[in-house]
Amino acid sequence: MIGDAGAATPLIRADAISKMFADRWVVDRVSFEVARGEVVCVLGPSGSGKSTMLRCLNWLAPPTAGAIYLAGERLGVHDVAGVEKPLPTRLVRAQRARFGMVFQQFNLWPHRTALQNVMEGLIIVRGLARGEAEARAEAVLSRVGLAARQDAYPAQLSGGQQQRVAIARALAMEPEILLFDEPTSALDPELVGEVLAVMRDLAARDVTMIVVTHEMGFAREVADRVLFMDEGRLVEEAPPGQFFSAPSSARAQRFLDRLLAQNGR
Amino acid sequence: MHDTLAVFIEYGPQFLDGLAETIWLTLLGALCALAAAVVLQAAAASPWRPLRALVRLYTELILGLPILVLLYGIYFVAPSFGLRLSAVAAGILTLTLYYSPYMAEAIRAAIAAIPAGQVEAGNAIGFGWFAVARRIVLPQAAAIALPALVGLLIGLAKDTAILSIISVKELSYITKQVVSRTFMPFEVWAGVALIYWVCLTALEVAMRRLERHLTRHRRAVS
Repeated sequence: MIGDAGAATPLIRADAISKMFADRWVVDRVSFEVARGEVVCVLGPSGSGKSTMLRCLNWLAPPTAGAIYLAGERLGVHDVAGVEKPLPTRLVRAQRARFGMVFQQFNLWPHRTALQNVMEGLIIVRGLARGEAEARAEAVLSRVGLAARQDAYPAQLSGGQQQRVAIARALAMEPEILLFDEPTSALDPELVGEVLAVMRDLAARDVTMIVVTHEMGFAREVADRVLFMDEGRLVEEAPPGQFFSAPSSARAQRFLDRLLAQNGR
Repeated sequence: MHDTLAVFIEYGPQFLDGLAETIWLTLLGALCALAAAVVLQAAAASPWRPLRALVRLYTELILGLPILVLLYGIYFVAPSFGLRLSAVAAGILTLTLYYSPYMAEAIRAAIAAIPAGQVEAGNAIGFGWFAVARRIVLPQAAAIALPALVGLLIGLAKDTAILSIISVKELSYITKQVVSRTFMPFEVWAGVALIYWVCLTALEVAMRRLERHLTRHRRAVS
């Protein structure tokens, strides 16, 4: 992407986004940028607002304040005769479809097979013909190593396989950026590796990703940058090498110490 | 036995008409009740408080009334308030009013059983509310609600017999007429009981098949 005119504009720019739930600022004036092809891991204790911040980005949880830009385009809001107005739902959906999202609980549709789960958005949202959608879905499923299980229902798949189908479902839509919300937190430890392997592969192919995770190993190896959140605030932003060896904030240090004590790593 | 058969042959056309009327009342009653249930369920989920209160009041009222009392109210009492209905219309209205709150509850429970994450995954991929309803919620909710709805449908089919007391010419009404002419109550009612049983059992078997079809993903084992 070097030399590309678009490279100058960050793919994502979050400008002081905040989210209030029941009188509490769950996300509090968080600002950051993500460049095209970058992998950003968001770390922090549970309840620090990481997931909510991620949901703000694709407007699943519209931010209470602040602005988000996707490739320079303001999300969720437009200008009507000099006044900021909420964007019509149809346009919000179109913007949201430029993101892919992978959930902690996979959220596959249990009444559809792996292949149908991946085809669904291609047919309903992208308006592809069935045959075309099927071909693309098959290709994406084989990319996550599940070509042989395409006709299985989610209940027939292991947690790791389900999450790989969920990644394929997001990937098939050819999003500009993938959002991962603790993608391995619901998995048995022995199944975490296969999901992380798929994510590593995506990172190697320069897919832009924001990953909320507790997998410190993954963050250390794969992330270009680490964002550390605590109590809704973005406390620290650093390359992983620097973050894990010498975090500049006391809160990040405490967080890492606690993890170290827990895992014995 | 020979006499019984003779009665059913002699009054065959009437019995068939009665059975057709019963089936038609069941279908129309079930469709109206289901439509009313969907409206009730939507109203119960409305953000407008008075509407929700109204639905609750109506539901409480119906749940506390025998269907016979409701039928009498609609057919004999409502005319003095200006609502004059034919026997068939009063019958359909009774079945609709009586069964819709139960069906609404079955639908509500089925929709509530679908995890929010299912809907969120649809939204995240760019689905609108209609696509979410049609592609994600409805197919799953239908499978969940079906056993309860089948039970209610069979209850409704059986309750069509009550409409004979306001002279709706369905199977039980015809039977009463035939009995009053032949003076063979035991044989005739036994034969009609068999007809009811065969039809309702066939209905139940058909619905179980549909249920199995809708829930095939749950039984799928690798």
